[in-house]
Amino acid sequence: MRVVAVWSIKGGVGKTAAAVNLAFFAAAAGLRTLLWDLDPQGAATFYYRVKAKVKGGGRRLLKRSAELQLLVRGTDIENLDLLPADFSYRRLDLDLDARKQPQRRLALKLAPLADEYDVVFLDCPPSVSLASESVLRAADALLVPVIPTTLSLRGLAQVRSFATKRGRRDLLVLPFLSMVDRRKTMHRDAIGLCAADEGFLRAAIPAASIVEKMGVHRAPLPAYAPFSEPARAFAALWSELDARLFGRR
Amino acid sequence: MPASLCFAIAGPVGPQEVAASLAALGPVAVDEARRVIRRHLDTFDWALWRSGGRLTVERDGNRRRLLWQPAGDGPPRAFRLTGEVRFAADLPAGTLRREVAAAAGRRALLPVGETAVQRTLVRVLDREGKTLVRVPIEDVQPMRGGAPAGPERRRLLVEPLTGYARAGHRAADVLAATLVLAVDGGDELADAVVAAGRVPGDYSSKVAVRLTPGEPAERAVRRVLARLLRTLVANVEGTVQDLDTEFLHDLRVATRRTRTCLGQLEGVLPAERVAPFAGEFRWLGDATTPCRDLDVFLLDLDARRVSRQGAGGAALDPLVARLQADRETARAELAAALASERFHALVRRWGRLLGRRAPGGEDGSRPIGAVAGERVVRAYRRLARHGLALGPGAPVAAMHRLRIDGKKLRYLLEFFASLWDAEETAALVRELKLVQDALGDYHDAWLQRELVVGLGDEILAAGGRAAALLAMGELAADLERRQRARVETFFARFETFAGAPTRARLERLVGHRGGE
Repeated sequence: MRVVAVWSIKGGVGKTAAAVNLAFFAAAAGLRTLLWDLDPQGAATFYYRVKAKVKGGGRRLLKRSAELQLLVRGTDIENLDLLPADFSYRRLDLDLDARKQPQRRLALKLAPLADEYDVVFLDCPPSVSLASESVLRAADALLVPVIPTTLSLRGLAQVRSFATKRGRRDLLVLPFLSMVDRRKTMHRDAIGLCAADEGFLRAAIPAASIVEKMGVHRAPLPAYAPFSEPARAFAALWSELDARLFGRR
Repeated sequence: MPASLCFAIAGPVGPQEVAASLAALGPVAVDEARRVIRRHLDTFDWALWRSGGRLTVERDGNRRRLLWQPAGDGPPRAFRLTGEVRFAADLPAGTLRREVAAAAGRRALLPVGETAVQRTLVRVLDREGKTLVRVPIEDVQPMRGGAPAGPERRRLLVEPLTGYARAGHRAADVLAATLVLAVDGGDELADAVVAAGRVPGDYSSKVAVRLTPGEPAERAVRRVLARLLRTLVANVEGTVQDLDTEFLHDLRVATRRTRTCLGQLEGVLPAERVAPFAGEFRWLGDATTPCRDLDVFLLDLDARRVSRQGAGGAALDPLVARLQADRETARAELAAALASERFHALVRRWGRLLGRRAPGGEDGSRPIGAVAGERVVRAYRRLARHGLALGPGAPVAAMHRLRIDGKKLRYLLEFFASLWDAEETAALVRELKLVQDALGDYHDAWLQRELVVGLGDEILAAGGRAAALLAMGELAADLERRQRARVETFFARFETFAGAPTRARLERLVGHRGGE
């Protein structure tokens, strides 16, 4: 089982859109896929029409005895299950802090699912916190959406430094361009900078209103606009991620 | 994975009736009916079927999906399919590949039957429009050559999504209470296979002939040999078409077993009638050797590449290419041998001889229980005597002869297993197999090293680079190490196997004591 955390320090960069659509493509490719919505806003949960409710909330979920399997919900997409968000996740840091080994807690919770799933996507809230450290410990790859702006690129540098300082040199840090608007000079300039960075995945997700319509359709983008440019871009992003996670397939 | 339920539909129940019945639970959606063609896959020896798994390629227009139903009662998992699937290794990485590979190993996944299915999906939703339970209604028609063959089966499945088991139970209860349904005990794969003219499990390379100790030896041995001939013939087409490496393996083993049977059970069949076949089966066995040796080497190299995660693999490409070319030549020669009149005459004449009751040799009328016990003990004693006379520095040829002695004993134990205590026979075969594995690996390593060293000059002459030669040198050194290590393993294991306690167990098992 490979764990991919979609994470950024900055909010509104397309994390949930990436997690929701990449999970769709992973499932369609035949991988048993779990999407864990860790964001108290519960957007990924909403898109997949699952109730944003976890019995006992985040505090109970973090208990050693609580079985994650019992909270998993199947989505309308074959091979794709979802662990729903809960509004109590806004206190996840405090709940983690009250536990032993808080940094290892998410990894421990995921361990019993290793035989159930091939890939797990963690849709993380934007922050640098104890929860982020726990995510970092659990993940095999960190997928970082980067809007081609100075602030976003600065955020990426912080993510890389955070991962290195936490001793996760083995962690795959995989940035990709998100919400790209090629009409903007600043975006075009930043794209040039990112192209020179070998760590970047090559696929770039365009800014498009059709992506925002996931909230209207309450479905992942390929389910209602499979031939749209952003859907094709997410498919290309998945191909790259797939190769990095699983090598030869 | 929640359990799914399958019902047989007896009366005039369609999607609208099912939807009306389920409407008591909440909103219901009825998807457009689809006609899909399902091609059912399995290995030639039914490894998936035996494991309880089912693998199907479902075609819906241009769209193809792979459906994998692991053992158990969960719903099948679906996978988008783009390329061709011939081996488990062609499947997407993950649980699917792992589970199929665990059952199928290196065997090819072959079509074994086809069904045409009219499928309508009824879905039970919640108020958010999310699916809680899938209820596919299927009319399943087995096909043969694109035409209907065999009775159509109508069924209805209740497949709750993960986390919605309660909704699934409610749906099943409502359907059972309002419609005329019966629990479906049918098997789509079995229907498809029968329509294609076969039966699931109709092939196994195991000898598995049920004998009774009092049966005349001549009759028992003829039955064993007839079974071996069927196995041999069953593997000819797959070998010629090169579907996977195990067809040749099984064909070769059936040939060897036949030769063992003829050699070890002399005096049972009439010598003058059997004698001409010994040479013919030796010819057939020899014809299979070059291709099989190269198969083993190429499989070993592939395993080496996988275990080293590809490290240094590219440097061996020239060697692999050369071995593949040699293998292709060897395969073509083998295919020619299997297409020859000599082979067909052998099969024809041998089959005719086995099919006719005839007076046996001097031991032909004795009970098989006594004859088999005697020959097994004799083969064991020969193996022990030859093996104990050897040491770690023994020549390769002597070790190879010992390996053949071991095979003869193993085959005899397998031919006549039904005469003896099954558990103890299996235990002794397992112990013998451990000894033989060490010997086999030793011999393979020696043979492969000889090949690698012998090909060095040719690879160089063909423009091979230094990296290729260095990699071949490393490989040869590894093979030499492996050969040495396996010799040590062999002698450690053999000491126990050739010891008095094992001999006593064997004699007790077969009810025959050999002399000193």
